[in-house]
Amino acid sequence: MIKAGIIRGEGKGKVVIRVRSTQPYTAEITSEQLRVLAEVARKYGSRVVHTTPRQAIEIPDVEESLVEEAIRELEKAGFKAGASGELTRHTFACSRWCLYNSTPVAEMVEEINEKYGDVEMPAKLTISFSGCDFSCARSRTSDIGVIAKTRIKVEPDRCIKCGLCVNDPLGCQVDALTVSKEKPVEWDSEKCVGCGFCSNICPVGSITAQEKGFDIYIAGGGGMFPREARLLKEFVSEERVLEEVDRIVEKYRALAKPGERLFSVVERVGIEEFD
Amino acid sequence: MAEEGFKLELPKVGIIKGVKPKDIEVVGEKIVNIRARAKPYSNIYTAEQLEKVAEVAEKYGSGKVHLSPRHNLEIPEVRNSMLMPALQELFAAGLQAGGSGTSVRNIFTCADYCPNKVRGVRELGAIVSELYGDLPLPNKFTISFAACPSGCSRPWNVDIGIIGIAELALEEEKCVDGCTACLEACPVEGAISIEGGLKIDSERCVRCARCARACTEGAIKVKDTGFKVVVGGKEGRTVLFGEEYLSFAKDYEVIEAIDKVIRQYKKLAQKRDRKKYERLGEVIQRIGGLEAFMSS
Ligand code: SF4
Ligand code: SF4
Ligand code: SF4
Ligand code: SF4
Ligand code: SF4
Ligand code: SF4
Repeated sequence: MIKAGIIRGEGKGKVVIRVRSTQPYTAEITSEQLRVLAEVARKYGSRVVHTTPRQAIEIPDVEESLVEEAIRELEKAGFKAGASGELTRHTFACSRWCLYNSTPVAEMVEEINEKYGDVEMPAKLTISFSGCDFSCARSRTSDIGVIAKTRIKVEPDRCIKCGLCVNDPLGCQVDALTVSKEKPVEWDSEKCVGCGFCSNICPVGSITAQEKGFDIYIAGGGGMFPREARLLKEFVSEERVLEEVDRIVEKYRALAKPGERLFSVVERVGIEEFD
Repeated sequence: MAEEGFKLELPKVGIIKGVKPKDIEVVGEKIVNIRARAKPYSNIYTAEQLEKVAEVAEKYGSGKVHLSPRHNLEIPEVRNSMLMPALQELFAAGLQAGGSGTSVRNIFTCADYCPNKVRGVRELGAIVSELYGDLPLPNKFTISFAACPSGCSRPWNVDIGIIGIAELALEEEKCVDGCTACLEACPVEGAISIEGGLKIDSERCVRCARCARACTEGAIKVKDTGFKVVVGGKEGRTVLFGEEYLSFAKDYEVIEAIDKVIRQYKKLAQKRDRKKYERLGEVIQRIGGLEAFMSS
């Protein structure tokens, strides 16, 4: 029986091991873990390691008979074999060190991985969390995609017209703010995508971050038949995001035929069923 | 603050090829993130390179490494004063800072040791990486190679996607009764039918050759392999899917196509907002489709 994380490779009797880091979450690995990867690739594989588009790590060319042993060494270092076949993929997260410094999602992602990492599903299921609307973790082409949003408050009477929120490389990216020597900041809420970058930059608190919320998208997909996800819920509170993800996953499990991806379920029964 | 950091460090790091201000992200005044990647692909690291990244992260950073969605190994929290030795050590191990800003980003290939592979992409990808890697362009520009239509490297959501496909040859008389191997292997419903004679619906078939691999009788064979080239996709704040530009291209035609698309993009891209130029897909949309874009 093929275990999670062991996939067919090229060459007879050779397999590929796919693992993800669990210390503390997928997108992050420690230097000790890197050394273990190097060691395992040298000892059991062909001295190379491949990183996948979803932040998993693969060690190709492992002798089938040595797989268990190799995986044991990897697990000792805090890796988990998985992310293949009909399983939830580990949740994909954007960078903890993003210089835009938007909403952190790493903790939520850890929690989801605890619960759903490599759980059996009707078909492959991808979950992605992005800290802002720029969606670096590809939340809009995943089965379930979460995007953090920040509501800002703009108080033009406090503005010193320094122009940072507009001109700084880390300021507004979508022209939702204007400011000039004569006129204090003006905010076009239609253009605003709620990234909150400006509130990190304004030196005098003329723009401030208010509450955070999370938009939830479902039914996107990559691969052979790529499709854009659809917006299911807007501005869900932090406390309720994980509940919502739970609910969507349970609904999917209940409604899907074997082998059916979430987008296909949504096409068949309508997105309202997931509301 | 960020600006100041760039100005201070850049002249010194400029001696290392390919380092642009954004490859080294200035986070605080003293702390930078280095986006390291292997050449020619950012997704294959040797054991020695992993150890080097580990060493640099420990010596100059916090011992942590971030796996980026486009396969960089990012070393965060490096002290600014230690940037130069860190970069030099990485460079000596074949790792460069790169893969950010408005240029051709890391060339991306799927795992072509995968059994689904129709046509290998590593060599062609390396040539493209050599030719176009880090080329400055109006906005960021992503190129992905997938060795089969499953598209694990997400070729439909990048500026140029190159997908390995097969041309099949059918010999119906070799097909035996009672066999359904090809049907079971086919990932697309209704692409292949055997009732009343072996047939492939060319509208539905994605040309993945799984049927040919499953057929032991030689009734379905791979006649030739090549690439489909799709252009103008993106992900992020908005999602666009590439439009088919070439339906069956040979290696040199793929390179020609990339060259042409990049030239048109340079010529036609306009400012989208104060900070950025349009992405390729946005230019194509504004102009009214790929054909119009290519002939503008
Ligand atoms: S999604 Fe936003 S917060 Fe996350 S890495 Fe991208 S820009 Fe940074
Ligand atoms: S929160 Fe709105 S106004 Fe502020 S930087 Fe983001 S898009 Fe611009
Ligand atoms: S950063 Fe703040 S003070 Fe400066 S122009 Fe913007 S709103 Fe005004
Ligand atoms: S794109 Fe095809 S060949 Fe490449 S890794 Fe995915 S399934 Fe395998
Ligand atoms: S090439 Fe064969 S297996 Fe692939 S889609 Fe076409 S008929 Fe199906
Ligand atoms: S696998 Fe080959 S022999 Fe079997 S049904 Fe298909 S074409 Fe015929």
